[in-house]
Amino acid sequence: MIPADECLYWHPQKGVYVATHVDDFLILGANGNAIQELKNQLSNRFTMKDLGQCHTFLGIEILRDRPNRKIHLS
Amino acid sequence: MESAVGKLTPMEVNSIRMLKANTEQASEENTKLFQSIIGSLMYTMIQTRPDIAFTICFLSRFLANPTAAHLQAAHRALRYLAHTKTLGITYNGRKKGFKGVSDSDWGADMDTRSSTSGYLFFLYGGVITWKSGRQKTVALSSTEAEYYGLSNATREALWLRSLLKSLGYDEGLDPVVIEGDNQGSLALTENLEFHQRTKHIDIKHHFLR
Repeated sequence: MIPADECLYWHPQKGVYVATHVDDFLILGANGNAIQELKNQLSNRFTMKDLGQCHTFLGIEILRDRPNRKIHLS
Repeated sequence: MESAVGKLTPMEVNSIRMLKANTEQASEENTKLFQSIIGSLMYTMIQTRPDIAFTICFLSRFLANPTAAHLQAAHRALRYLAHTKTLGITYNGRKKGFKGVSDSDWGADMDTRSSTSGYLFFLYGGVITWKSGRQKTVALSSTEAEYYGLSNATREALWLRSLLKSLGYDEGLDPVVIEGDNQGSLALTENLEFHQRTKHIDIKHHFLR
């Protein structure tokens, strides 16, 4: 858990971040395998739905522009 | 809203001075309508639209008893959003850097004469947190109003710095840059010029030095 924000968790070695809002989770990280591993572990313990790459979170639409390294929220 | 004529700004110029508190009691119907419009605007503002933060902050002062003019101003904000609905926040992975900006008016609230200040913090070329709020004390000079605004921004900056540090981000955190535009208040942050007009400014505000 990050001391400055109690809704944000991370794994320092694997570089995976989890942002939580009640029952919505956002998993972030540069390492796809580590993310998949975390998702497998979580679904073993809890009933959860994997929505894949994030397009909306809490009503915010997320658009990616990978070639230009930009991310757009609206 | 689809057919509404769009507006390029969220608020009428000078509406801060024109929109006064209601001297009569507004109908329950209008109050409900006003509150629900502000509620919807607030949701949008908190998500991705810092540009209407001031408008919402201002109009929220009349939630309990709005006049027809306040209702009209709320509709104008909706029309502004309808006109600018493609706007959002873009973060650019190539633009590293963290900074804040702060600004303030001076005594523009005609009912209480308190000042309104706001701040924005940027990371990777996009806004990450923002606020517009009426100050709790009445500022006696624009210097004092801006200084108080900087003090508010600094509190946010301290929290952001600890958050970013714990996430392993370290660019531009020591020191955090917060830009102000008032020479008097900037001079005051550098050193305490103890003269006639600033000697009443105390602990809470000097916190940012």
